[in-house]
Amino acid sequence: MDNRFGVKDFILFLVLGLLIVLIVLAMFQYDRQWDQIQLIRGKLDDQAKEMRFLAEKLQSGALVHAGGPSTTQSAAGDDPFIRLREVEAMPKFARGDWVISSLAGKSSTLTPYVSGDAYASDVQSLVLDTLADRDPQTLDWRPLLATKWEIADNTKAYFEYLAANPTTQPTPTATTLPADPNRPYPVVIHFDIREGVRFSDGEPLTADDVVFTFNFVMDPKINAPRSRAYLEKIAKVERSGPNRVSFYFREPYFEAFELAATFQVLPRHYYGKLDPETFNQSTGMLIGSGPYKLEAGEGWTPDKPIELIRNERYWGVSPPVERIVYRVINNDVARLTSFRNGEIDTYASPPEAYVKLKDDPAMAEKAQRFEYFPASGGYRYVAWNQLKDGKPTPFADKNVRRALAMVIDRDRLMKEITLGYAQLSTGPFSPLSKQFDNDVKPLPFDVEAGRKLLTEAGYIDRDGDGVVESPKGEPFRFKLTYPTGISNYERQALFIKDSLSRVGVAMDADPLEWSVFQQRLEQKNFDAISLGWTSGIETDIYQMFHGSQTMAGGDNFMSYKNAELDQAIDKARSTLDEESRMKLWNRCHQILNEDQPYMFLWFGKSLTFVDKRFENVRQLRSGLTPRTEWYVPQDRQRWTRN
Amino acid sequence: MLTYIVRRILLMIPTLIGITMVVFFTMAMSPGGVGAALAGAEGNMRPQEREAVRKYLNQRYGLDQPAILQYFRWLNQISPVGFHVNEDGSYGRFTLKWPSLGESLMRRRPVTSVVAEALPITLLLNVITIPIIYAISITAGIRAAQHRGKRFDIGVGTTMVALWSLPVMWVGVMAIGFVANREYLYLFPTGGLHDTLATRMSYLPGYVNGEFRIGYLLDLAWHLVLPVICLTYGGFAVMTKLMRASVLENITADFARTARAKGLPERVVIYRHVLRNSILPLITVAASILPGLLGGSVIVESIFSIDGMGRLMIDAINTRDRDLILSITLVSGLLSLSCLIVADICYAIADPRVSYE
Amino acid sequence: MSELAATVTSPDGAAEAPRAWSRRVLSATFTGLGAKLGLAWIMVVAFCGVAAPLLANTYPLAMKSGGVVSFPAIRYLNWADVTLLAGTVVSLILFFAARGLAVPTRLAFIVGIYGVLAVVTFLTVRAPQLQGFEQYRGMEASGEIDWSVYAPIRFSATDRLRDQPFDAEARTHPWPPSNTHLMGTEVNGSDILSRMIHACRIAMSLGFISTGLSLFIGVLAGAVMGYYVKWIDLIGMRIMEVFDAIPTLFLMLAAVAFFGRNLYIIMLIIGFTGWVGIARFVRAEFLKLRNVDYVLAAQALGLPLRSILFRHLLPNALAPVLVQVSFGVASAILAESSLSFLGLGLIDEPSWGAMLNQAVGATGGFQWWLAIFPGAAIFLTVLSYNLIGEALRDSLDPKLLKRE
Repeated sequence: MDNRFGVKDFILFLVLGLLIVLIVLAMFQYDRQWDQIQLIRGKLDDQAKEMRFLAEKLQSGALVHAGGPSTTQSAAGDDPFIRLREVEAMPKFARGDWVISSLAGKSSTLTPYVSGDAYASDVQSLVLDTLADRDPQTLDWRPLLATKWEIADNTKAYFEYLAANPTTQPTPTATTLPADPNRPYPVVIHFDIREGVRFSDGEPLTADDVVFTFNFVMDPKINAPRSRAYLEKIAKVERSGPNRVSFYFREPYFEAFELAATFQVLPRHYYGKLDPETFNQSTGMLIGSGPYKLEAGEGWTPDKPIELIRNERYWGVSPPVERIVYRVINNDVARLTSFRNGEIDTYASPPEAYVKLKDDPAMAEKAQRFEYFPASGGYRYVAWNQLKDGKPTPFADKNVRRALAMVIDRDRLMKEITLGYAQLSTGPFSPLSKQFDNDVKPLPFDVEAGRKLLTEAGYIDRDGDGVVESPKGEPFRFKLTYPTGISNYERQALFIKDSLSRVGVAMDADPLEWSVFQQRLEQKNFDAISLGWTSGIETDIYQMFHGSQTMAGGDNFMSYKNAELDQAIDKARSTLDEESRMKLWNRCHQILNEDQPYMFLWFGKSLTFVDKRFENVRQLRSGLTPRTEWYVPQDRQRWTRN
Repeated sequence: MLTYIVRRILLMIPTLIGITMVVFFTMAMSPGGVGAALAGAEGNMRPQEREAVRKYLNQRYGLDQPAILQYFRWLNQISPVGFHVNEDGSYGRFTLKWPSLGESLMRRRPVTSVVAEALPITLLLNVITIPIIYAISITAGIRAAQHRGKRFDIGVGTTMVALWSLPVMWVGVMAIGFVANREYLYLFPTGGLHDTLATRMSYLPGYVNGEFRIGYLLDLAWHLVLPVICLTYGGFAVMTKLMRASVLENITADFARTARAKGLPERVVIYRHVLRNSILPLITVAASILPGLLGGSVIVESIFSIDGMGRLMIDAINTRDRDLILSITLVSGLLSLSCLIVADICYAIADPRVSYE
Repeated sequence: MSELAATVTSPDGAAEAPRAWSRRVLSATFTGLGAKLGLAWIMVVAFCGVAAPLLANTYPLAMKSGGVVSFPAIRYLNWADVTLLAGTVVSLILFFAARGLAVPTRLAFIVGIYGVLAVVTFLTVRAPQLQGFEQYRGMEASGEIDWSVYAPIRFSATDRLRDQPFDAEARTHPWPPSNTHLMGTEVNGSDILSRMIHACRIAMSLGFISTGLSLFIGVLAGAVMGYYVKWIDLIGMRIMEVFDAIPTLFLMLAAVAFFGRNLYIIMLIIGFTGWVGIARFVRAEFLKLRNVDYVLAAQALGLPLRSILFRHLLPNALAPVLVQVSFGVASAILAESSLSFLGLGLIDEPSWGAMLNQAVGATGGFQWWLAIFPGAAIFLTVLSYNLIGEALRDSLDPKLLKRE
């Protein structure tokens, strides 16, 4: 028998295959070159347009300072770029170099209002501008796209009208009040829009763009239901002058100004031309007036790296850093190694790593480190479900909740997991915020007192099996549910389990995957959960603790009701005066610590390392200095090959 | 033979329907429901927001319909003949239409583009991994069988079992920690598939301004070394053992004895006669490991931050992303069934005793 | 090829032949050194699994306090512990005492004893539901105990040493090996050696359940499909393809969502999806051997199908299957490790795989004691099953038997 398929044929096939592969690769290479040429062409077109614009302006004699904000200042407004000007005056200031940030996950889309994840909002905050923003040090509002604003407080007239024309609902909320054209708007905010602002493609930004953005987002065909629900409190946005916009609110809300001020403005000439479907499905349609722009433009797809380059047409003071690049690294160890190799410039470290890294000489040589409480940091808690299957649970008794909190050594738990880089939390407010009442003390760690409270509540071991039973004879046994994938929840659960077994309460750990966890929360089919919330400079605790939010899907999933707390929350939310509002929030803090609907655990510190070559990275009240204020001296620049 | 192949291809259709049906109904019945993670994508959503989101999604994707209706809706979507779907979701005439894989709920993009990003990467990894495993296993297995009971056999056997017992997750992380680390050996990158500057590179290596630039292709290869090592080292053990067992069976067979009696050198006996007969179990195994490999190796992908099919599938499962899960199952089902057909054909070619009549 | 097997099963010697054959195979398997070493390790693991509560326990085995003698360790045994301990003792006595009975009968008795014990203990044994480790350590420290006898390792598997003072400046868990903790502690504070011993139970049962199920279904399905080609083969192949293409991970996630974290459910799923590989092998071998002489001869003799399939064809088809099975039993243990990595693993139950998952610390530092000890255990287990599998394969191959 002769061998028809021999070595010669094999080699022939191999060579053929190789040839085909090379041809395919050549085609790809050609494609890439073509893309690059298109990019260059686009940039040349852009520059030609800019030249024409400048030539026109020169001819008309209108150009004095190149579109800088100082000429169009209104008397009352601050210069939003004061901080940047100070940075420019710092020693060894130089422009250039890149910042390489790392993301733990990929964004599915960068298109504003459609995207939902935190990574995308980081990028969007650099590409889009808002009407006003907070100064990172003083936390006061400073004008950005708006030069000044006026808040018309008609709350009194509004409440008087409501009293005169009673509605059927006891607590009117935005969506339940029937439309009434005679009813005055409780809050109206007028913004003066700055002149001379241009988007990154050269078109001017006007009041029309602001109005357009609002109407665009509120269009039900746009896939942005979350933003819509958030902006629902605004009845309408109108142009009330050549450079003036007015926001009309449906109800008095203490966060009204924040809602309007943090409104990201989209260009009408660009987004207005799109049909809703294209917008919904797009991944890279991100054009704004901010200091940076997306290099890949609207053709960006999630498999390409996210690169932001400086907006050369920026209307304000341009930030020093030329480019911000995002690398996606999922694995924690890989991220640390990347940082050590110099492949990324920032690293947020978990506490276990931090204790080892802070004394590491190699790390000290290449990085600067910061430990701080971020202004929008979050806290961890354990929530006790008070109503399950329509019946009250053991946790419905306030004394039981207090007893459990006293039996668990929260201080030690915090130290074991955060290794001291945290602060015990006694309520839902950030310790940096004025809502936090410093006089509220955490419940003491006292096993005997806790045991006594439990016995008084009727929980005694009646049958000698080690587990305490309720007066009805049901053993006190429950499951602590938590979502998988978040670090240290398992250690926390085991700690709580061991603590509770000292007083005869049996607990089982029940980790669930996120979608199942969500479902259980909604159906209130759980005993206790462990989770975290973020807080902020001022947090609204209405959803989490108000008695009216106990419906299915509401955030008061533990069915907690306290009439005094409800009153305080309602009053605080509709009080626009900060001083009196804060006093009301303090009262809420005291009630919550007393009632323990959550066992509040701790506020964690942010432990960050930043590459040493960056100057002006400091700890401010809001956290670290924003990346737009960092710079790298000429001799230390790494990525710009000058 | 030709009728057999045609028959097999036609038989793929009921199998694919079976596969997708099982996957769909398991997902629909499991707690969390279809598209569950969408409505609660972030923890801080207010209840009105959540309601609004839910209503919108139900209307857009038909999530509140009973499971069987949703399944038929999907079938209609992927078949080239079916009811045409109008803009607002109602059904039109029964016509020829473009099959569409649907839209991913989480990513709000057509499934085709999502899968098209992940599939080439997985295919690339597999196309490199499988030949390496086979090449090393075949040669090692043959030698081990030839020197049965001696040092080579025992040594290789034990080493490969030791390699197999090392779990991928810490080999991968160790590799990054020691071989991709500037403080130890900086031989390989820590992850991903491309360098930060990859988009500016030319394909082939060359000299730019006097400096040697590695080029896009070599950069890709350099990034692939560690993941490929992690994917291959575990596969040696089973294959080598199989090959060894199979060769042992044939090395003492009558035809081998005849060949030796004829005076053929041992090398020819082994590589031309015994090899062809011994390779059959390996073909069988290839047919069964391929579907698994196409699913991607989730662990390696997450350690090295590579976006392949494995991670895509896990994400889709966790978020109960209906169209994405079904489409991935369909695509990988299609690929693996095709590989099975090819394996069966190879089997028939290699062993004349096998008949499909 | 297997003329020897065919000639042995003659009609009149039918009653004697099976016993002689199985005994011959078993004794041939365990003559080699490799198989003996493998068996020795398996026995060690089995022993540890059965006697775990007596080997590693925080509670004293016996103690006297205030004039009263008590046995805390015995009091805290749960029904599974009692079943295993008592059942093993009784079975060993039975196995070696009742030589007169045939091996299969003895095995059946043993299974029966375990079953009865399991039911009885499940209904009667009431162990305390909560652990009280600190209580006994406290009593020891305050001198209330007159004398006490402890297990060789004075830590239970879930004892996380909560009563030890916490010093933030000191090392946090996991601790490297020391005099008190011979293999160190793991991330939550429990002793590793103790967990390794208690994990032997899971290690032994996991592999057997999943691979046993796969083997059973796979051999049956493959044999039937390979013998009857045409329609049965057609439908069978489609079913196999469906099972193959369903991603296992998906099923496991669904199972965890439905049933919670039950390792046995997961192993059943692995078994249900794993039978395909074995069935393919068996079918392939059957396809090859269908028309071989001795099969036709057996058919001509009028032997029943069962006999043809299982006495003639199957022993020849088993060689590659055995290799796969020997890896399969140990791969279940590694699968558990992957499950913990993906967040689906068991909470608080000791297992080698879960410990492996903790081996790499936050800074990428290698915590060697969490990797070497469980890793070595897994390695030795795989090796043992492999060696036994190979020896078994060698002894099943009649050509090699003939040589000796």
